[in-house]
Amino acid sequence: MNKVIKLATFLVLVPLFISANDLWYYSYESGMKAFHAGDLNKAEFKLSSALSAQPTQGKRIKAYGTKFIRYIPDYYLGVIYFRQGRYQEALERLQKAKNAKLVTGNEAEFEELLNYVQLAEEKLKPTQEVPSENMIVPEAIEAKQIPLVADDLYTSFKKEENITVQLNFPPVPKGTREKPEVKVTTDEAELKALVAFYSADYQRAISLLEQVVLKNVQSVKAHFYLGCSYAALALQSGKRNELQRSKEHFTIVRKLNPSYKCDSKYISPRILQLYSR
Amino acid sequence: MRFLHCFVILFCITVECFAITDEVMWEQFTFNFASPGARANAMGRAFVGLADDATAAQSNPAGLVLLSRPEVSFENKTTGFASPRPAAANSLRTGETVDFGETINSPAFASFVYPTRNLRVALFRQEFLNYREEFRLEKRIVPETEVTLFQVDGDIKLKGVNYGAAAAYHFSTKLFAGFSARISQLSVESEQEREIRTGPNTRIDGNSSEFTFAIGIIYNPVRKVSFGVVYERNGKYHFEETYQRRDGGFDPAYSLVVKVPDRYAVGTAIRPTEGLTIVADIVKVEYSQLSDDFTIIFNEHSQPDDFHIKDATEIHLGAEEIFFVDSTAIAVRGGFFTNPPHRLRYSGKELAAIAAFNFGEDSSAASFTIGGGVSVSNQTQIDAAYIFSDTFNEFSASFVLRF
Repeated sequence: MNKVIKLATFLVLVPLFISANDLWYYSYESGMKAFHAGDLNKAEFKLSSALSAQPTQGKRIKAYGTKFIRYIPDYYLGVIYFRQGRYQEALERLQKAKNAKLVTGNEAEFEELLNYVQLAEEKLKPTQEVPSENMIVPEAIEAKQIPLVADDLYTSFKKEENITVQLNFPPVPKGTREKPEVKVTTDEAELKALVAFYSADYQRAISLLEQVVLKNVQSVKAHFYLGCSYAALALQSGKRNELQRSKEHFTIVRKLNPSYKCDSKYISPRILQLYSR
Repeated sequence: MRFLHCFVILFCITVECFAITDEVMWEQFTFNFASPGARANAMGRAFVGLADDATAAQSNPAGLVLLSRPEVSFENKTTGFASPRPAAANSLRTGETVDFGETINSPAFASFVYPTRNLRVALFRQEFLNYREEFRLEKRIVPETEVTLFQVDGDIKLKGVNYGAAAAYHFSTKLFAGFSARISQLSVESEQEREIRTGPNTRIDGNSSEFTFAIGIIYNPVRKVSFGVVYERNGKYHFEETYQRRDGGFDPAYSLVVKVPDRYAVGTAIRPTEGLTIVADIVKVEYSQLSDDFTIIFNEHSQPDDFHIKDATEIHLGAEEIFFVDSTAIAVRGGFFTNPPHRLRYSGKELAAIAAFNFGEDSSAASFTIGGGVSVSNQTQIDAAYIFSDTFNEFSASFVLRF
């Protein structure tokens, strides 16, 4: 009897010291949770893990017993890559999802898939190479107006508020590897914040947006994205103070512009739910 | 004496019984242990290599790893037993039998499974045995002799229940292990009255509890194939048997031990398509443990080793096909399993014991199973199964709720 009890105790304690990879549908479910919470890095990791363990995708893939799940990691990885500015990878994933008919015409995601494919293709056109702030800008394009990372997202805001934004990087001598110094104006900070937000870099987005709000406390958009960034962090970490900050900024948005039209297309529904409360 | 009573009661010896006895109730009795879950039952009771629902807590605890959501399950069974006994006066000569056994309706299985990180825990209750029988054996003539056996009125109630907790975890995405610890309870109520209360009567009335356990492993080399192994250690249950002499007095109670057979099983599950699953198990049941240290009460010229039960190796095969109507999954299942003979047999020389315990042929019987199920939105699932067997027919229905 004692041996049996010892064996049982051992078997129950073993899991505390073992860290095994999740089964594919665990990874997929937690990847989807992370995706909806805006944690794109975690979502990418989990969905990639699921896909490597279970490459067969479909609308009804057997998980266990009689439980079947809609398993389309290629589509969500495509969206994640797009939001991260990895357009080539995004296009490959999205095309794969489209060709395999993982998402079809009668489903909510189908229109989004087509939009993402179109936007990714536009991004990848040779004339529209995208420099990030860490890139050294070649002399040949110094004077050109530089298209923005995630500028498809930003276009809607430009149209909405009739803002013209241009990033002017200082010229860098040939052969130098130094990062160009950028004078950040309010608009530029706001723009960078949006890029950071849509790249799931919420801390950076908050840092930049706080600067914007300091200079222009009436900026509805800055308050909205501050609320969204805090909400995304709160959804990731579950911290109440971030949720509280999020609510504060959303309240300001409603006071400043009760009819403010937000980006309901690319922002997580869970964040929008918090905003609509 | 016109009726020669061939059985002599060994009053003078203090008997300690370690197993079943040569009492008449064990003559044609066969233990048939229940399997949990309508889904598993419908698939020929082959579930060791699959074990992907809450009944895994009992059938192969390693399978609990597969469950990603908390779930509650409940099963109800209606079992009609048919235990053929040579009951008529000349039945031992003619081979004629009468079916005894009752129909029992009972809650057979209930469980709650909760997944936490890479550990799964489950609490469950399972009835592994639930049997009732009332029988009357006339004064049976022993073939080729003038000997007549006592008329016996028998009443048997056996009920075995496991109350268990199980834990399972995965070492990797391909290898899982599980363990279940159980408090197993067996209750026996039996009474054999002879010659309208003037003969030697026996009675067992008691409950006994034991710690038992099961340990299992599942290995998935590829997603479409899995293998399972399980070992189930069952209990030795202690009872007291009272003995009433023909003069109406009682002997001191005898201690009696019933060892429920241990079980080893290996199984496999193959999924040729997304909806189709084929399962097969080989199960070895150590029925011989029931006759270890056999105690002789009546057949005084025999040795304990003259009574024996063979171990049995059962083969279980089954299949499940799942298809969809809108978002509702509909499952159709079928299978069969063999039920090798595992009755108490006698290899001694006493003619009365030969006639009583070696009655009938030892042949392996096949039992067939069918069933189906409906699962709505991956949250609720209802299954049903029916088993056609020589010695019992069973209908089971189960309900699963996932959170």
